[in-house]
Amino acid sequence: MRRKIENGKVVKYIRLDYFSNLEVETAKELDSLIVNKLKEILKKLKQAGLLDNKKHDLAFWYIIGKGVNELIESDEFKKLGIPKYDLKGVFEGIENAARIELHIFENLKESKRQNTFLRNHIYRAYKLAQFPEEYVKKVGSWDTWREFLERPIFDRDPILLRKLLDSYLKKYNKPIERKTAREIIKLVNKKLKDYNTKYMPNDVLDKIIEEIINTVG
Amino acid sequence: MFWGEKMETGLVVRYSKQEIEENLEAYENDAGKDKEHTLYFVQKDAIQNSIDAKVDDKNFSVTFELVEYKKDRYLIITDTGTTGLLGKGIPKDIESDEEAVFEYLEKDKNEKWGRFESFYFKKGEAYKDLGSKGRGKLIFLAASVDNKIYFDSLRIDGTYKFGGIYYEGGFRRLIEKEGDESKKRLKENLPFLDPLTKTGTRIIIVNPYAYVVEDFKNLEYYIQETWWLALQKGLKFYYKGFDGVMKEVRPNPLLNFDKINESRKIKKGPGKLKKDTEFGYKELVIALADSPLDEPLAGIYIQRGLMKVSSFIDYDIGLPKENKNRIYGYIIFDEKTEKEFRDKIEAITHFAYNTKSRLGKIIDQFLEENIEKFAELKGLLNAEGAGQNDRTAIVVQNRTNEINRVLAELGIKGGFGPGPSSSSQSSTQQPSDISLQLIGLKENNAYEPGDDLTFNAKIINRKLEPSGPYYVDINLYKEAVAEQNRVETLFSGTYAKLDIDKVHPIQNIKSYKFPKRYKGKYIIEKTITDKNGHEVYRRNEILWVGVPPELRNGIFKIDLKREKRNNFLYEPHYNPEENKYIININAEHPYYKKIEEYKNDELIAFLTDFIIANSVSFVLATEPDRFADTQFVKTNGSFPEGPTEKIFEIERKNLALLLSYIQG
Repeated sequence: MRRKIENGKVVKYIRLDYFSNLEVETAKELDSLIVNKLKEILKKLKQAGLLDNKKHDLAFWYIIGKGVNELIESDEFKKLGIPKYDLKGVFEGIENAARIELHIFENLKESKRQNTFLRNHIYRAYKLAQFPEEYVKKVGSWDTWREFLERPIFDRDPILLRKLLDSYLKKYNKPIERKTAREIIKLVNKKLKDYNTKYMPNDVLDKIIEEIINTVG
Repeated sequence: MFWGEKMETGLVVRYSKQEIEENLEAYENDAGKDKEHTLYFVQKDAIQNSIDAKVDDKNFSVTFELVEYKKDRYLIITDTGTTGLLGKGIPKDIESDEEAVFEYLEKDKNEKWGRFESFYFKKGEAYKDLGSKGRGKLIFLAASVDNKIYFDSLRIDGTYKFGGIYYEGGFRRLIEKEGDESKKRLKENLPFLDPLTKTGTRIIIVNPYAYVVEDFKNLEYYIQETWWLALQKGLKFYYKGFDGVMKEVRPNPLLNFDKINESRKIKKGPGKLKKDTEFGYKELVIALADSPLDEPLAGIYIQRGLMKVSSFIDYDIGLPKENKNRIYGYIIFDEKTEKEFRDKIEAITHFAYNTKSRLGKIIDQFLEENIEKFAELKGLLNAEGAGQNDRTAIVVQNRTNEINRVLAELGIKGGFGPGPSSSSQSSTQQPSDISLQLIGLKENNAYEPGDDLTFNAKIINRKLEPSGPYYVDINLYKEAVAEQNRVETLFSGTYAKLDIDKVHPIQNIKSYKFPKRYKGKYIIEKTITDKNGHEVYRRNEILWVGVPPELRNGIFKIDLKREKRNNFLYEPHYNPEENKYIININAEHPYYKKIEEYKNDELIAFLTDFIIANSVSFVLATEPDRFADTQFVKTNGSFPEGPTEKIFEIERKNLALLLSYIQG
């Protein structure tokens, strides 16, 4: 993204001559897909009355995440041939489009560009909506979920997250507070630092999870 | 007891020592200074209270004094030209009834004495206008070792009153009658002081902490910073240390925004903070200092009245720090916004505001946009933005690699070889008990887009328990090791047994075809996990696709952090006013000096041309439109002001190597 001044305003723009025709075509197609999907999402948000609410809560992000999941699973999208590891640009695109064309996220800080995009709002919403809606509500607020979703360890192994959440809910039967979530994450990072959770025998992993859950309670 | 049995005392409801600590902590957090700088907090609150009670500008002054009497030390803050602390104080019969006290205070807005000694910070109409949320006064107690303060006041109605607050199993207050009895008590307790002769209020902090006394030398600086606008408007502040010399606080010349040249500042206003909102501002000034300022002076000052609440500096527009600290200025809100600011979002410490509130967000956004515009106008922002991941950085990286490679071909080598430069992944390496080696990768791990990635691998177990199972994974990532960047799982398998010192080949590794359109870094991640899920081995291998491999220790090194400017051999510099690129060649640089000495050496001539050619290609690659105007300018170590685009630097030890080669 380059910057220039036009009529006293800073304008960000992209030079299209860097790209091939095919890439530009794909980008345009993707753009129209994104905008259409966003319009749908906007409609749903309006229906749910979540748009006037300046504070973006769990329901707000769940609807967005659901939409993004639908977009990425759709046949039109698959036809574009964007591999999974290149979705970063798509998520950035969705965020920009939502900001510029639909004026949602006005109160939201821009996601930072990074090699990994765990802190990208759209990516987190996308991950969130992969859990069932009822379950999401049971676990806690958006703040709690954000804590979990932006950690690489859970991104690598979603089953670990599900196990942790399940055992917390089973033991305490109440939503997790953000503070508790942070404690849990701290312990997870400490205790599972040298492990590849994918290959941990269930009994070993369950024991560690139980220890963690007992400590935070 | 210190003041004799006959004195009447009363309760100060609600306060415990713990609350004083907590209050101090809030100040520390909001102001970003620790408690060694309690004086910084004290001066702000004291002057704020005085200015609130100001009658006219002409007679107004605030004086800070350090006084020693017998074994005790005192910090005395006196204001004049104010109304004084009006009111009778809280009647003794209602003092233990919180609600009654509150009602009493709310009934009479002029009952400032009562508010000062009661320390309520309940929110209510009575408190809003008077700034008497009470916390401020706690900071005076926090500054005193004994948690003890006295105060007296000659009020605008001509009456005189003396009082005090001290700790004795809880906070208590002195109750004195106005007039002569008060004067008598003052003499009893503080024999070295005379009753006030000018209208105003005096606060006497008994035995201030040593760090407060020590910090007194910084008082002028503190007042200059916090009350710069008041100083500009001609309000007087004085201070007197133990040396007994009264000095006046002078305005900081840096903060005289009116005198700053028009070309180095912008001035706006009045206007709206955001379209279609009710919030507006009177004046916004953003200016550029010659050199980076200290932290509290840098940034845009959020003003509330004459007081600077905080500096807005926590913005992210991709400015390097040294340039960020050169930008400063202030914003004054319109009346309505200022009222909203004071009532709703200003912290009770006066050092911060709620940035998560609607108004706070609007303010932050407004300032960030304006600073970005300003930075762009002054040419402080890189056209491409900063950061290691952007295009310019890649271009510079490639140029540097080219120089290094040519030098290497000429036989001038640092510690060469493919691999990560100095970044994260290699740092976790430790001697391993087991290893996984890749066989058949291309030389230097360099590939072209469209190439096939095929290789074999083997595992050698040196020390680990042979019986497994062991899980082996080989994954391919793009750019960085993260789940979302995973391109392929090239291999995933289980080994039931790994005999010691035997080679275990890995078969059926998937091959991968690099796509044609992407050039950059790929990473192969190799992990071995034992039966308990414990990672016994983890290493990364970097592949360079379509880009030259980073050389581990080339002769030239890029300094993207832009720290040591005087070490630069040359520096491309964009001059926005003339729309020209200038490449400054540092004539003081040791390499350049050597070039001068060996003018006739062909190799040196070649190298110099080569480096300059590279700087030209740098401009070509990043700003082709401006190339026609590029100039080469020689300077002597200190570059003209302006942004640094990207820098090459010769590492000292490599320079020696280079020179020794040249000298034969």
